[in-house]
Amino acid sequence: MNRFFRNILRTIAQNKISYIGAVLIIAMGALTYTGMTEFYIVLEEKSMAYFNNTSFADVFVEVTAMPEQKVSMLEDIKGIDESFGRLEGNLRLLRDDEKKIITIHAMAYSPNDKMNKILLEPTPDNIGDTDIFISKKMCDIYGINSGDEITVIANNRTKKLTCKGIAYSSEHMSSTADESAKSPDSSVYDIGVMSKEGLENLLGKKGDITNIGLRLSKGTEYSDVKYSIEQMLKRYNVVSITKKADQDSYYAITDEIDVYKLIVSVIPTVFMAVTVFMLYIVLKKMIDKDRILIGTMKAFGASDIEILTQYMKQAVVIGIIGGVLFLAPAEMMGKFLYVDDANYFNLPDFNYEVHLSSWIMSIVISLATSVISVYLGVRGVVKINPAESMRAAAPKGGSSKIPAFVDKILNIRQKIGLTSMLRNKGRSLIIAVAVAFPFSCITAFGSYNILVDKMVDDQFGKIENYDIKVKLTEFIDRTDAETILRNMKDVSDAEAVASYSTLMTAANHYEYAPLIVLNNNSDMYRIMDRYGNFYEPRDDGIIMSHHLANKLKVKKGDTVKIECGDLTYTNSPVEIPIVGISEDASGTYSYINGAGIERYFPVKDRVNLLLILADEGKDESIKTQISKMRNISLMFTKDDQKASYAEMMSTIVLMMNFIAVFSIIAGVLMIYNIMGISIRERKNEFGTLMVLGMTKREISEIIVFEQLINFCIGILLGIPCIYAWCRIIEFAASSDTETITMQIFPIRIAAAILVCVISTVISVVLIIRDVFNMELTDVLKERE
Amino acid sequence: MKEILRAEGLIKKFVSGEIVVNALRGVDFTINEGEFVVVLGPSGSGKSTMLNIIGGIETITDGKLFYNDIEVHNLTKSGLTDYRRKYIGFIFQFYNLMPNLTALENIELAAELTDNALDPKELLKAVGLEERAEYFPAKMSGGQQQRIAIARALCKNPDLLLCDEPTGALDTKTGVDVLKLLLDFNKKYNKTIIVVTHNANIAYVADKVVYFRDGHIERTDINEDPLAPDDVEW
Repeated sequence: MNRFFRNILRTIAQNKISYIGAVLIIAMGALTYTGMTEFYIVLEEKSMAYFNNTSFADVFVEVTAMPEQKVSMLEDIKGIDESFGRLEGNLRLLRDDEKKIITIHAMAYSPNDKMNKILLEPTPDNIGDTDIFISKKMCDIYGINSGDEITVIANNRTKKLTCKGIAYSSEHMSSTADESAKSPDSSVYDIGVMSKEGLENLLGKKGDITNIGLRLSKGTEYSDVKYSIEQMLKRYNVVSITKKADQDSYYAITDEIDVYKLIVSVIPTVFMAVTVFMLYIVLKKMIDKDRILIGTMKAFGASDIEILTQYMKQAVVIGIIGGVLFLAPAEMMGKFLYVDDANYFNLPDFNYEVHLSSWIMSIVISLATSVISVYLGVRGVVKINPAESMRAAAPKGGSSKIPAFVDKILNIRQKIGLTSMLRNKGRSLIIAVAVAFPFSCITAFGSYNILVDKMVDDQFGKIENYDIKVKLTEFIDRTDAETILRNMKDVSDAEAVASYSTLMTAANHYEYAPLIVLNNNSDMYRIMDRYGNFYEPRDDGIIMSHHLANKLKVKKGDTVKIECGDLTYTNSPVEIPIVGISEDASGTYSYINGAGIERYFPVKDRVNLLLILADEGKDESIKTQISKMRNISLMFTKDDQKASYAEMMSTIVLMMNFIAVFSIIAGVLMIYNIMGISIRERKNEFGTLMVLGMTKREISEIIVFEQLINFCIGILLGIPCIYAWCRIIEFAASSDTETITMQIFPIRIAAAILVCVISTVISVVLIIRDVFNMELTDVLKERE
Repeated sequence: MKEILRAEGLIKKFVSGEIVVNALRGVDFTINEGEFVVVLGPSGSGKSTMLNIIGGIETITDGKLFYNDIEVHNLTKSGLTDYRRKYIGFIFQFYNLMPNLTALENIELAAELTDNALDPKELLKAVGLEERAEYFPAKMSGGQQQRIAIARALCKNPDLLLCDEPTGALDTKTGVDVLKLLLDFNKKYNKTIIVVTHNANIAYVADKVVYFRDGHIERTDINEDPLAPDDVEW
C-alpha cells in the first residue's frame, strides 16, 4: 500500500493550496487553544508559587494598632498554629512635578518574617532607616530608580527617603487605594517597603503592628476561629478579618484565573470545534475526489483498514504539521498575555516557561482534529461497497424547482446557478457556513473591546461623572465638606458623598463590601444597571448590586446586618432592609442616601469623598488646590481611573482581540478553501458548458451569482451565530464581580462584512481564473 | 475442465427510496477453470452487475454464488476483501489508474497486495510499455492506460480476471491489442477471464458466450472453435 500512500502524497502536492489551507486552519485552532491554555497555566502556577514561596497566611486581620508582643497571644486560640504581625501605614509621596496625591502603602520588612514575606530586588544586606523599596509599577510610572531620593509625608512630617530597589508583596498584588475604586491604580497607590525601625519612626508607632497573618492548624476552618479572633482583638479595633480566599490579592488573581479558565475552556474549544468541522469539510471534499480510486483499491482486495490507514497517515502528517507549525506564535501569544497580567498583578517572576505538556497537547489536539476529520471524510467512502464507490455520488435530490416569481426575474445563467445550488444544498450550505463563521466571530469578538471602552465610558461618564474624586483622611460633616467645595475656584459642579467599608452578613454568608452614600437627583454619582436604568438611593434601606446579593444569597425584601467601625460605634451590627437589587455591570456595592444613614445608624450624615467637576480646562487648577489641602488622603482623576479600569480588563480584551484576528485569518482560509474546492469539483460541468459555447463571461456570471447567494445566506446564517457567540462570551468572561452584557457594534458588523466580502471576491476571482486555465480536453476526459 | 464458478438463482435489487431496480432476476451459470467467457447484452441488462457480484464488489440480494469451495454469498465484508485480494483481478472500462502514480508504480501498487505477485517490470514489458515506466497516466493514451490497467490486474496473478468493457474506450486496433494480451494471459497461465462487453465480435474469440437480457441469462453458447483476434473481422 506504499504506492497508494504515494498517490495520496502526490495528490496533496497537486492540491497544495487546499492542504496548506487545511493545515493552517488546524494550526490556527491549535494556536488559539495552546497559547491561551498555557498562559493561564503559567499564570496560575506562578501566582500560586508566589503565594507559597512567600508563606501566604491563612487569615488576615487588620487592626488600628496593637503591641507587637501581643500578637503571639492569638496562638492560644485553638486551631491557630502561628501568628505574625507587621506594621503598615500610608505615606504620601511628594513629587515636585506632580499634582496628584500619591500614596505609598508602606510595610515594615524583616528578613525573618514568618508569613506574607516581602521580596526585595536587589536583596539587601541591611536596610537603613531612610531606605525604601517601591513597587515596580510605581517606580516605572514616576521614573524612580535605585538611589533616587524621594520625599514623603507621614504623621504630618516631611521626610527624605532613598529608593533602594523594587518591592513585591503577595498581599498587595492587586490593591485598590479606596474601597469605592473600581480598579488598582499604581499612579496613586502602591506599596513601599522599609525597615521596621524606619517605618516605626515615620509613623510614630513604636512597637506597634497593624496587620496580622495567622496560620491555621490542619483541619481548622476560618469559621472555627473567626469569633475567637474578634473577641481577642476587640480592644485593638479590628478593621477587617479576612480568610485567604477572600484576601484582596488572592481573590483578585484566583477570580481572574477562574475567568481565564472558563474563557480558555469554552471559547477556543468552540473555535476548535468549528475548525474541526471546516477541516472535515475541506478534507472530505479532497477525499471525495479519490472516491473512484478507493473503489478500485477495494476491488483489488485492499481492506477498509488498509485504505483508512493510508489516509490516516495523511491525517497524521497534517495534524503534526498543524500542531507544530504555530507553537512558536502560541508561545509568543501566551507570553504576551502573561507579561501583561504579571505586570498588572505585580508578579515578581516575568519568566514565561514553556510547558512541554502544552506543546504535546497542541500536537495531540491538532492530531486528533486531523484524524477525526480525515476519518469522517474517508469513512463515508470506505463503508460503501466498492462498486458503488466507483460511481460518482448522486445529488441527494429534493426540490430544485425555482419559484415562478424568481424564475421570471432571472436570466438563463442565473437559473443554471440557482438550480445547481438547489440540487446541491449541502455544498451551498457549507460555503455559507464558511462565510458565517468569520462573519460571526469577527463581529462578536471584535465587539468586545468596544464594549469594554463603553463600559469604562459608562462607569466614568454616566455613573461617576466628575473630573476629580478626592478622598478625605476622615469623615467630616456634610456642611463642612460643602464649605470646602464652595471655597474652591474653577469648580463647575461638586458633590460630597461617602464610602464606608463594611462587613455585611446574611444568615451564614458574609462579604466585605463598600456601602456608598449617594445624593438624590445627583448627576455626578448615580446607580445605573447594565441595561442603562438609573435608580435613586433611598432612605428606607439599601439598594444592592446583584453581584453582592448573589454572594450573600439575598434578594429584595431580605435584610442584611452591617458592621462598620465608622458607622456602628458599638460594633453591634445594624440590620437593614434591601429595597432593591441593581443589575450592575461590575462591583459588589450597596447604596443608600444620607437620610438612610441617619435613619439606620447612630451617626450623622457625613462624607469622605468629594466629587468635583472642573470648569473647562481647569483640571490642573483644581489639582493644585487639592494638593495643598492637608486632610486629603487620595485623589483620582477621571482619566486615571478610566485608564486603570481599562487596564484591569486588558488581558481579556487581548484574548478576544487575538480570537478576532485568528477568525479573520481562519475565515479567509476557509472561504478560499471551501469555495475553491466546491467550484473546482465542478470543472467538468463548466468545461461542458464552455464546449457548448458559453463564454467565460457567462460562466463567470453563473459562479458569481451562486457565490453571491451563498454569501448572503452565510451572512444571514451568521446572525444567530453572533447571538450564540455573544452568549458564550458573556458566560465565559463574566465573574462573581463582573457581568458582561455583550453588545454588537455596527462598525464591527461592517468590518466583518468587509473581511468576508474581500475574502469572497479574492477567492472567486482566483478560482474563476483557475477554472479558465483548465485544459478543456483534459477536464472532459476526467470521470466525475 | 474443473468448475471454478457456479451461480444459483442470483438476484440483485437496487433500492433507492421507493424505486426498486431488479438488476438480476435469478441468474444461473457455471464457468470452468481456464475459460475465456464473454458476456454480451444491451445496456442495463445486468451484465456489469453480475460481474461486480462475481468480483465481490457488489452484494447479492438473494441466491448463491460459489467460487471453488467458497460460498461467496455467505462471505462477510472482510471475507469478500480477502476473496478479492487472493483470487480476483479487475480491469475497468475507464482504467481507474492512480493519477499520481507512474505507470510502473501503478503496477507495483497491485504487487503490494499479494504474496505471489508477478514481476511488475516484466508485465510492463509484456504490455509493451517498458519505456513508459515513469509516465503518469495523464501523459498516456487511452490504449496505453488500459494496457497499464491490464498489467496491474495481471500483476496480482489472479485466478479469475474480470474485465468490464476493457476495449469500450479504445479504437479497434488498440482494442485488438488489448484482447490479445488478455488471451495470452488466459492461455499462458490457464487463468479464467470473464469479459463484459457490448462488442459482439469479441464473442468469436471466447470459449463461452453468455447473453444477458433484462436481468437474466437469455442463452449461453459454447464456442467449440474460438478464433484468434487477428482472424476476426472487426
